[in-house]
Amino acid sequence: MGNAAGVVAAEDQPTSEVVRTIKEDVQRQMKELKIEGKLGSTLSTKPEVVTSHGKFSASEGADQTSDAEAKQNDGGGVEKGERVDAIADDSDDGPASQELVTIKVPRNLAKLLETIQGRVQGLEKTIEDMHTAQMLGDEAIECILDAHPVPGQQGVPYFVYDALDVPVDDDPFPALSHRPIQVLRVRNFIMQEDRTARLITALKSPFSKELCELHFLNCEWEFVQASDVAATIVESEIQIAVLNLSRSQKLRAESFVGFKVALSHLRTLNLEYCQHIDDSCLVCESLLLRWHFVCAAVNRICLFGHTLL
Amino acid sequence: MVASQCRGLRVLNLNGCFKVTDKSVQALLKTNQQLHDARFNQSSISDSALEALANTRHNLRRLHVAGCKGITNKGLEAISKQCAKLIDLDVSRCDKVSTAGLVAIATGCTSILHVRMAELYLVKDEAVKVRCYNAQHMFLRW
Repeated sequence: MGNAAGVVAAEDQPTSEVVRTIKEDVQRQMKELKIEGKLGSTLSTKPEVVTSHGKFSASEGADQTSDAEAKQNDGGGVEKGERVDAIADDSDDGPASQELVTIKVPRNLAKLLETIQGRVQGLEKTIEDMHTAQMLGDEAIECILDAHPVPGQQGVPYFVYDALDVPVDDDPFPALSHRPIQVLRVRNFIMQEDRTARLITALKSPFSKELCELHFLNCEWEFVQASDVAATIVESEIQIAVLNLSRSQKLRAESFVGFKVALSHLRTLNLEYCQHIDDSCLVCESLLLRWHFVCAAVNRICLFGHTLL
Repeated sequence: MVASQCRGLRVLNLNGCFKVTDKSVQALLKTNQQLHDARFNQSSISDSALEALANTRHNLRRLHVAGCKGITNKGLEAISKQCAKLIDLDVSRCDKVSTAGLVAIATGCTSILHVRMAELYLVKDEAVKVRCYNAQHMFLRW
């Protein structure tokens, strides 16, 4: 495997020669990884290959879409990337020398930069608006957070959707099917039947595995819809850590109960200003709620019958 | 319901859920041992909920109970004895809280950084004068 001499040799070789050698090393290593995977070892699915020319890995800051694609392709896209960073340390030989050259291979770099640039410009505009409005302190902070919600952690891809900003017939959920989103924030949305169906379809897509935060601010849910969504979350093995239904003043208790099966991985529960939430929702299923379950089930059967007719 | 399904809650925000009482808090605390951020502004909880929090939540960092009319000095004293890591407390508009409750917090919760105590008409100068080395922000509004 690699050593300091290898690095020097790599620098002296023509670029095409180096690329060809790297490709061969990567392909060989990937074959080995596949064999080890079959043996049941706990290998990371993140494409990371150590070659005689250094350690290759997808950049942590790279676009998550391509990360997911890489997982599906079993790292096959690594060699298609570009070299953006190389750190050489020719201090000594030995096992550690495999780390001599680090090459990060981010995919869709232009797209990532475009996203960052867009966010920076948006932030600048918000700050300008704040100056115009002479906002200070908590008010200013809330303004920034509202305009640019902070996702669960830095760099997490998230999707913000405000129903007041787009045509009524539009909805955000098909987007979930096209790219991995970890944080979904939806505001002012009435969860109609067709929209729920689209959300469920999106939740069944491979990208939805990334989803860990669901924010439905000031949204309306029916019980059947909520329970269907929750059931899909469980079936798709999506681990929801944050459920935010705050300011959903019309959220009925039985609708919230519909989410119950999806709560097992929950770390944060926000029911701020959900005025219909009471002890029966949080502690046990009261007779009233069971009655709602029955009503909802009957309603569902009727709807199904109506569809058949 | 939530209490039986959730076993790892760390943040619970029930602000404005005025139908939520001590019963919910006590049930949730039985299954969620890692709660460190509890917000119950304008809910119907009382000292019993704070005592339950104090008995099980030694890692409680944030407690918001603004506008909870059932909160008294007794509840705050329970918190002050068990929750030394508390850093953020909001007891605004808890009409029954007086100087003694805040003095207990100031002396027991040595990590406290933020205290909101707006519209506490029973609180006198002693509550503010008490030696509270770490407090960075105090919101006093009348």
